[in-house]
Amino acid sequence: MDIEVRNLTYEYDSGTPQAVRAVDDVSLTIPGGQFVGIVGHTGSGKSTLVQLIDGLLKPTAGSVYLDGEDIASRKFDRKHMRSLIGIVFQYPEYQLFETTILKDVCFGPLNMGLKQEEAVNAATDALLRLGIPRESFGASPFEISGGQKRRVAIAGVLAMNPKILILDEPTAGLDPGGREEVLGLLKSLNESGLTIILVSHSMEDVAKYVDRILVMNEGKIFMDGNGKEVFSHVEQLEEIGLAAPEVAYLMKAVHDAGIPVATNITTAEEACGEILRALKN
Amino acid sequence: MDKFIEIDKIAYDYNRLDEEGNVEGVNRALDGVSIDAKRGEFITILGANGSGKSTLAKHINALLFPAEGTVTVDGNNTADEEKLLEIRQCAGMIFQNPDNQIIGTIVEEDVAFGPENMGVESKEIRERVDESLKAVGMYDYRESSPNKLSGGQKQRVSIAGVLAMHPKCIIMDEPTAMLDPQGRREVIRAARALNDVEGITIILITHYMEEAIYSDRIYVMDAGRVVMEGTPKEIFSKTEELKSHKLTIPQVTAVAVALKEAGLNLPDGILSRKELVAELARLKKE
Repeated sequence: MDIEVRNLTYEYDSGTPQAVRAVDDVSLTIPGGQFVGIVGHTGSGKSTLVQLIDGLLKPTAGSVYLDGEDIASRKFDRKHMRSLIGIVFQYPEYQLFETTILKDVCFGPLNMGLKQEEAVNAATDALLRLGIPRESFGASPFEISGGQKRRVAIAGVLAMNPKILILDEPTAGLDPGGREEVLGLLKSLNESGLTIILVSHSMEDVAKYVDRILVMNEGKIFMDGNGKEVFSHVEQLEEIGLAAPEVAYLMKAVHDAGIPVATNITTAEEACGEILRALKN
Repeated sequence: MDKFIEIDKIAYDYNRLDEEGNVEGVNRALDGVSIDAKRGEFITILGANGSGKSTLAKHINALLFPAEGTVTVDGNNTADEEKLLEIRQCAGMIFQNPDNQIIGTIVEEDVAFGPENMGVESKEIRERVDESLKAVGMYDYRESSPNKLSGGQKQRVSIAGVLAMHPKCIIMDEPTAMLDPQGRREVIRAARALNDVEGITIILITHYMEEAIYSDRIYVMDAGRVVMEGTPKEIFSKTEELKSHKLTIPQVTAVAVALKEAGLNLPDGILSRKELVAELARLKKE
């Protein structure tokens, strides 16, 4: 399922003196199956943009098209859209509420009108995909670790069988093990065909996992490219309150010390290979 | 040595409640934990989610009391009720979400809240507010509304609010978890400056390994116990052991370890960019 955003603008308090333009004339296309990372400092418009794509906010101007259909059009089936695009908010585990893990994940599919049995199947499938073992389905979602809670909450959205999954800071507050777990699962979901839009503050995570990075600043798309392209502009990123992954700084320092390494490197593995190559020559 | 904070074999249990609110059982969150900090030390506590870090932190300024063992802060035992006020003024606390900690409508009012509550004279409050805001680099924003600030700026205002109470120690419980890279840097820089310049003892809890490399000592927790203790160099030399506790090593260290495994003659425990670059430059000359 392709997403197309055309001249999208959103103003908070529109028409008042306090009007703030959070998204400013943004146009972009996200083809089905892509793994996109959106980065930007606090208040750059990232969360507003994804809420516009999901139809939770109505644009001040411009349109969002899903597979060519305008989501604001009267003919558009908005209820159906809610199941096509799943959105996982920050700290989604705060939204867990049921007495067992399985019941919690069934809530979405049941609300969509699935029969009990179908809902249980969908929930089971989603939980297994997120690595929650069958034995723990009957446990309370409040008595599992933080990383597991986060995965159960994501399963709750996945159980509605979306084609596009949007996640706002899915790894905030998780320990390194939990972060790897969640990101690895997102990567495998993406490989099975799901479009994933990841809003993140962690440049390291974005560099390691996504195909394409959108950098937002003051409501506009400031950069659009793969990790190597985006993180080769360290100075510009810093000017807008961001940073490159630690490894990019390391490679620059190594280069400045007279060792001829390439500097468009974003992960530890690549850095190691590149330093070895340069030292051997 | 002068032990400013001394936590001696403490245990703490959370009650598990059933649907009617009856106690069903207990979860042991801390199990024989001992840590200490000297005056002016910078201590980092690492550990996976649910390892007991935050429960431990709340014992230091007497928000929680141990079921077993003792907690002593600047010579006062937290079990001594008469000393509670003193302990809480001595050890300030910063939490994860800056939005939950700011109550004033103007930055300087927010910072003044603590000393006002302590009954500090108004002339002195003025001085303390200005000093504190300068110490975290937020003086220029003293008349702004906190709503208009970025996450990192809000968190620095929270720190100024604690500073204005003239604490000897600040406990920071994942102060950067919700911030963007710039905000993270600002907050860690402020914490290091308070430690270096003002000599305030800092206890930092974090999930970002990079933030731990400047501390004097690190404690690693797992399942309610302290499982590792040492300098950053010692701790981050033990990659496998850290992994077994669901932790990792800083990215620069990871590159150094991989290079060493590939045969380069590098020492263990490289933490900063500078160290690694210097070592590589040395190798190139040879």
